[in-house]
Amino acid sequence: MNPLEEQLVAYYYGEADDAAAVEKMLADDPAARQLYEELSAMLAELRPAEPPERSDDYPRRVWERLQWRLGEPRVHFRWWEFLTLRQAAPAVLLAAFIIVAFVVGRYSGGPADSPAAGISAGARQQILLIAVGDHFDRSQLVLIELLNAPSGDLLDVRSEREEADDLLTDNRLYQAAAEQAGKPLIAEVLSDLERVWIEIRHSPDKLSLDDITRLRAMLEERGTLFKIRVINAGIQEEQQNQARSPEIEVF
Amino acid sequence: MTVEESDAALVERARGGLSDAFRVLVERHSRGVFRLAYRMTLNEFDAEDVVQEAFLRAYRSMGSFDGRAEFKTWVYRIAVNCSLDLRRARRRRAELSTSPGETDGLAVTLTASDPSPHRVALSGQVRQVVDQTLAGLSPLERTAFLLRHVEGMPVLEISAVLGRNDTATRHSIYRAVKKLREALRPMAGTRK
Repeated sequence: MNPLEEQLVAYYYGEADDAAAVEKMLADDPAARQLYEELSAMLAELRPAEPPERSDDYPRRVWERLQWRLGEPRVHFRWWEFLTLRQAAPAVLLAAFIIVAFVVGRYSGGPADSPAAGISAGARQQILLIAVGDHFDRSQLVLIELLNAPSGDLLDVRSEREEADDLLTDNRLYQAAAEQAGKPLIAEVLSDLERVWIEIRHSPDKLSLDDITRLRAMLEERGTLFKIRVINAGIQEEQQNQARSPEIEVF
Repeated sequence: MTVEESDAALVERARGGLSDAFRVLVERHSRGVFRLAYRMTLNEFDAEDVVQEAFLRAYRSMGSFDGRAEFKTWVYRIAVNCSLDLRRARRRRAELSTSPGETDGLAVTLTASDPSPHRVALSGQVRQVVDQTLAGLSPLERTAFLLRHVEGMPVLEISAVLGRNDTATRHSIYRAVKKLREALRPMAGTRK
């Protein structure tokens, strides 16, 4: 865009450095006037898509979700503190182990199936699939229980929220491991699942039917539960195949 | 008649540890932060995450807020930073999980992954071209343009929100207009 157009756009928005000079130019110069008419006609017609509407109680819901997090002490994650974190449950340790094994395996400079970190690539894949399969099973249980809760009164989700907190930590580690392992489908579903755990983790103590409906829509929109079932079936198949022939990969 | 308490007064009270004052600030500005975050991320769920993270960071940084800027400008700026952080994280993740050349820039990713239902419901070729062109802009260009064009925010304030100087902001707006004009030019004859 040339300086003339820049000036005209600024003038259109009422932000010209010298509005009087632009007006004089428009009066004296037919080409400039025509250009401005084109520009202003286009901008006047321009109606970009609006962000999705928020419900009337949106500000209140934002605050309710935030309130829970404001009560938390700020945690600076440091690797040497990792083993002391409350979330250092066996699943987390296993996921961390898998990530380390994959990273060491990938960057050790050896061949792809170099037995870096003491285990082969095939064994690392197996460990990852078993761990992710367990994680998906656990996730399904929590989600199905939540989505099938009786409608009516507000649903107390404090325990599910704590569970979501743990699952979110595991989820992120498994996702990193799946990406390192070159399992994009699994990583994608874990990414979808992460949004759900974040949503639940930010939720207030009690969820309304609307909240549950929104959560259900979130899962249905991405087909998350369906994908989990398909991947779990694939994992089982792969495990059976691995038992027969370690070279076959389903994903 | 009740007089609405100013943001400055609420900030002072929130600094004193009164979460009720912060609640009013959150409730007052959450819609605006969401709109801004959506314009940056083009994704409803990402925008929701940005809203939460922005207010969380604002609350925790309340002590360092010097009050020279408006609270709204300050929290918008935080939301812009959160959006850029999210974008960087997404890009790192994409680099890890895809081979080079598999994706061609964020615009493609954002357009393809945008799940918002309203986008699906959009009709009209002009609207589609406008939205596609906007999605192809950088987040800062797009946001600068939309804050000016749709929200009517002055360039000075947009610059403060985006953390850039006025000249850079003006250029972002001009670039956006130029690209939109070029994209819409082929349709000029068919429009009324």
